[in-house]
Amino acid sequence: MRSACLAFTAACLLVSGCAQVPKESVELSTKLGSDLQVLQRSHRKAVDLLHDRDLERIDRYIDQTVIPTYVKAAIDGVGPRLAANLDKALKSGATQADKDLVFDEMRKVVLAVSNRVERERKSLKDPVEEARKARLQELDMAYAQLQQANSVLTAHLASILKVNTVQDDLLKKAGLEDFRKKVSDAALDTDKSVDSALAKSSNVEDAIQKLKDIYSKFK
Amino acid sequence: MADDFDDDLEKALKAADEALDKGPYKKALRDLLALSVDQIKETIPSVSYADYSKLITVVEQASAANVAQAALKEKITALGSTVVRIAKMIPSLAALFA
Repeated sequence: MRSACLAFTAACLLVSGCAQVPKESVELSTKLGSDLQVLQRSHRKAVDLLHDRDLERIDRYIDQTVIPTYVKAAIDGVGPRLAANLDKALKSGATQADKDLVFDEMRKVVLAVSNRVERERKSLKDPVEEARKARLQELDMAYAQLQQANSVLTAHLASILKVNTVQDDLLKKAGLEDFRKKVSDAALDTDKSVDSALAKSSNVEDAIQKLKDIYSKFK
Repeated sequence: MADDFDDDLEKALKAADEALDKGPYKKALRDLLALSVDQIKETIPSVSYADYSKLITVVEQASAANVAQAALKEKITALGSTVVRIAKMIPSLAALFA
């Protein structure tokens, strides 16, 4: 059993030691990086749309409920006095003081209602904006991690490709152009032989013997 | 004179503040609006915007028509378990299901 493990480990080392990557894998990995950016933009847009709908709903509530409530309250509270002063200011004998008074009162009403409405709008919208900010931050962090992982992978693949190129040049200079193919084929043959031996073995001892026979070929 | 005007205006607007919070289901509606779908998803991951929207519509209608609590509870229950779970996140609506 130990011999079988040794043979298997040796086969694995042989294959991984000659790791090869097609140059397209580096291009694909780089493309994945730019695709991630597109995906991130789409994802951010979806988060924005979701929160924009919340904000639109709040605006509708402000327009349909809050503003009419405050305007009605202001009219009920100071409307008659405002109307009387306005009437006085519009009469032919009105003084500048009459006009200033009604202007000042109207300004106060508009400002007071406006402040109340904006305070209400802010109190409703702030939690939504905070939630949007938090979600976008989480999203950006997750994508930054993905981008970083992909960059490491791309660099790794590029490095393997570069090593392969140098190795190929050296092998070519040594007149061993087909060495890499031979090693790969041998590793593949060994793998097939191990599979076949294990499939045909009648018992554990038989399997060990067959694996030993394969292993002996490497000596 | 001006002080009276200011005081009366402030008094009227304070009454409006209370009306916005204390009217039938108005507090619930306000709390619902302040709750984003994203926040609801933290508690109920399967929630959809449609669920949230349906609940707001029902509460808006209940507020406008001043319907009885039992009737509002029935309407919310009819919208399904997810909508009921959202309602339970709002204290004044959760009281309907206590």
